[in-house]
Amino acid sequence: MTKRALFWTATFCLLVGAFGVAGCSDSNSGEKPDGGMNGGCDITATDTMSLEQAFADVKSNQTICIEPGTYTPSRQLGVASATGVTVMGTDPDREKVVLDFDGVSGKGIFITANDFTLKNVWIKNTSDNGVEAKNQKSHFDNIKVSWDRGPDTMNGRYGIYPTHCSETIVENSEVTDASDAGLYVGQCTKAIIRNNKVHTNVAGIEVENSVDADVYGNEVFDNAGGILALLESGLDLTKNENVLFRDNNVHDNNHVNFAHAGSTVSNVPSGTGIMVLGSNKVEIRGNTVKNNNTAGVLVVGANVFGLLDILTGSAPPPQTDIDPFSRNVYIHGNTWMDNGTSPDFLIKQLAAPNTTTADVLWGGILPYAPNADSDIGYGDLLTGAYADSSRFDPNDDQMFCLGDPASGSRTYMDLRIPCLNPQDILPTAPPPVTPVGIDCTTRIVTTPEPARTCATPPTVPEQTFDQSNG
Amino acid sequence: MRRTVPILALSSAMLLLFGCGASSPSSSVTPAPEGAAYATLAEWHFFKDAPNQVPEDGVVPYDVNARLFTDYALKHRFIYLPPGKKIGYEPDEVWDFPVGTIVIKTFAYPDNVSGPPKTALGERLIETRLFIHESDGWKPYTYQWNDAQTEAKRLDVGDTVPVSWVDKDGQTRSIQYEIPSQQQCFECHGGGTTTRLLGPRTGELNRDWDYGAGPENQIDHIASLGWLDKTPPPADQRITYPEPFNRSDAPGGPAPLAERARAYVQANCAHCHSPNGNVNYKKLYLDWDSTAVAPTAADGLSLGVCKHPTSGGCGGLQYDLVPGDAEESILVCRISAVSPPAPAADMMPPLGRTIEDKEGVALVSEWIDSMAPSMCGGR
Repeated sequence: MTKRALFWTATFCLLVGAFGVAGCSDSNSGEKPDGGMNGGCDITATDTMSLEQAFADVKSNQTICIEPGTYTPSRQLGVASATGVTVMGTDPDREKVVLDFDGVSGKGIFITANDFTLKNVWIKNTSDNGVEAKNQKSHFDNIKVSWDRGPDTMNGRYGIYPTHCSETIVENSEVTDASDAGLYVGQCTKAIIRNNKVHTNVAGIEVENSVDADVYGNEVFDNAGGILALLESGLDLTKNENVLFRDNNVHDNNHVNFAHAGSTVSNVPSGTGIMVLGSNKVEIRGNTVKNNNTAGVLVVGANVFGLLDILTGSAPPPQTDIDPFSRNVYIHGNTWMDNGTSPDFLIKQLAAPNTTTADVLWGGILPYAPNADSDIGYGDLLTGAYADSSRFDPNDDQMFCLGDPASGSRTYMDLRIPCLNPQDILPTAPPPVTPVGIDCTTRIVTTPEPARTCATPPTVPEQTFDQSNG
Repeated sequence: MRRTVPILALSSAMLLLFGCGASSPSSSVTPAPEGAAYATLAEWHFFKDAPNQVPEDGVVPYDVNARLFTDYALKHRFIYLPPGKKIGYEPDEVWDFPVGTIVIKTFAYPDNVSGPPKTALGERLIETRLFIHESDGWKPYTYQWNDAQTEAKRLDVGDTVPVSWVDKDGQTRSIQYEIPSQQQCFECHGGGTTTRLLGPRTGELNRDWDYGAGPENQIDHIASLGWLDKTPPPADQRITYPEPFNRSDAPGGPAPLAERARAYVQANCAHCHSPNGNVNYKKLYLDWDSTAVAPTAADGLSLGVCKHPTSGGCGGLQYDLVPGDAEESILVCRISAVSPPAPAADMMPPLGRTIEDKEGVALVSEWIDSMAPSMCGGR
């Protein structure tokens, strides 16, 4: 609470205290127990009207407190010009402070001002993203985002959506039912995503075109894809780099993919635990990866999503703005169990003649990228040409370093795309050709694997920054 | 111009009949201290006759060539410049207005559904928005008109107003008009230090207005007031956006289809979809300069030609813009989407539109269909 607010509260209470006016008790005028530096309440919302007015009135470095209850804003809320704002439910049980945006067009809360904190609230039923922040230093703590109708394409696309951000922390939160990614970090530098529960979304956690992301301690389950590192063409930040996935529990990500047709995540195969697509320096360690039906970890190039375009003869323009290869992917020290037992249709076709896949699935990329690298480019589906059949080397630090597992009987598989019969995927596709220089009969390698000899394992630093206003 | 002249004529008639009006005596503009906008619109003294939108001396009305669609609302636009200040004239950007400038915009509908109109103007005023250049940036304020049209009160949190009117085809239209909250204003006008004005730029302003002595070029008029810091080039040498729906009666004939469509997307999309817009990171650029790029896939992604959507998408379509095929273009899907049945998040623009701009959709569709067909890539 600011000094001035304290003064007026005290004066008010002094003047009227003798008459027993409610609202002057310690619990309303004192510091909130977990509010930090600005933990006092400069503005307190008790109903929808006062909540909307609070967002209109809030000044820099003030705290909006929201009393327990259900609030039904009639339009998107936002903080655009006031910096250092904290919005927090006064009850640490986030499910008691409900912001229900059912029927409201737009996002739930849209933040463009820096140093923003949101905690202890449950945001529901937004038609667009639940919370979007395009700023520096956002802190989301103990919030929940969900949709009452359950997983549905009509739901908002993202639950928590920091974008074009830096030094963002999302922790202790729960996101479910988002029709794109539940918890997304895109075009950001420095992000910490920790101790969240992310389930029943199309993508659980997605780190896209970002640098220095540390994702740990999360439980991620029942999504179509659990945790994703994605590089997308056509965006401002043209790399996805230094991404660390550690100590997460990634299990049972077998939900049907209910994304909007045509969107990037609509291509994510259901049953994928962790997916790396076109990223550089991704370390995956200490995770428990279990019961993901398509694959525990799927590593592919950024243009693998163009597969259907190639088959239909309408390939997208070359991706000249990004390096589409996945490079320096280091997978080690994880616990594996029962992955790849029932792969999604597309992966199943790629894996044929096998009917199951593996804990770790490596897919290379398609070769038409203009800067195709014959070392890593993986062959041409339509000509059968294969750059170098010896190139799948799990000990090549520059592409894919497969370190020791922590426990479990890990398997890995090399998806040899030229071995695919295109017509298995699309009946009107060109006929198959005989692959050159590639053995299509043995695709899977099971444990025990070769000794791990990565010369310089591409480790990724943990993020240690913290927020001052949270 | 065909519409604005009668409005002014009506307003003048109103003045003759009722003099200075009952509620707001003639007075010079009285700006509020920064950060302390008045509770009522009348306190600013922008209007001699606010219900009929007759401005005070020194409050200059203007129109734009390509208008932002806001559920078919009619709009009245004015600029107030503090005494002695100058506007930085920009040949192809939004003008550089000095601190103290107030841009005023009233949103209204024809008052033609039940009973005689309440005002000579014949419009039901819904809200008057102020965009004020304070010393730390542009600040938005909105005043909501009462049903009696006698007063407009400041409203920071937004409101939903049922509105009905009879449109030009004789159809009665009913909508839930959305007055944005102060925070929502920032979604289009930017946030923090990047808050910005959108409309008043040379390409939009280079057109005629009747200030009482017949049609006169707006920029010439503003220059004649001594408001500009430099002498602009002659009117025919300035960038001019064509009127998107003017097919026949522009001097020298209508502008080419592509230019009219580009003016439309500039006015309706480019505030976010441009190199300096809020979603510039999606690299779908629809501003006047970017749309001048020949629409081929080889020329890159600026127009969304053969560009895959990122998070967005619409109707399961693959590309933002497929030359020669409007129906396959996400751009058309997005600007025609209405929720329900479409997901609300599909609707573009995301604010200020609850119904379809049929003429706008037809224009953009015609434009895309007229482009040389492309399969979008191919090997």
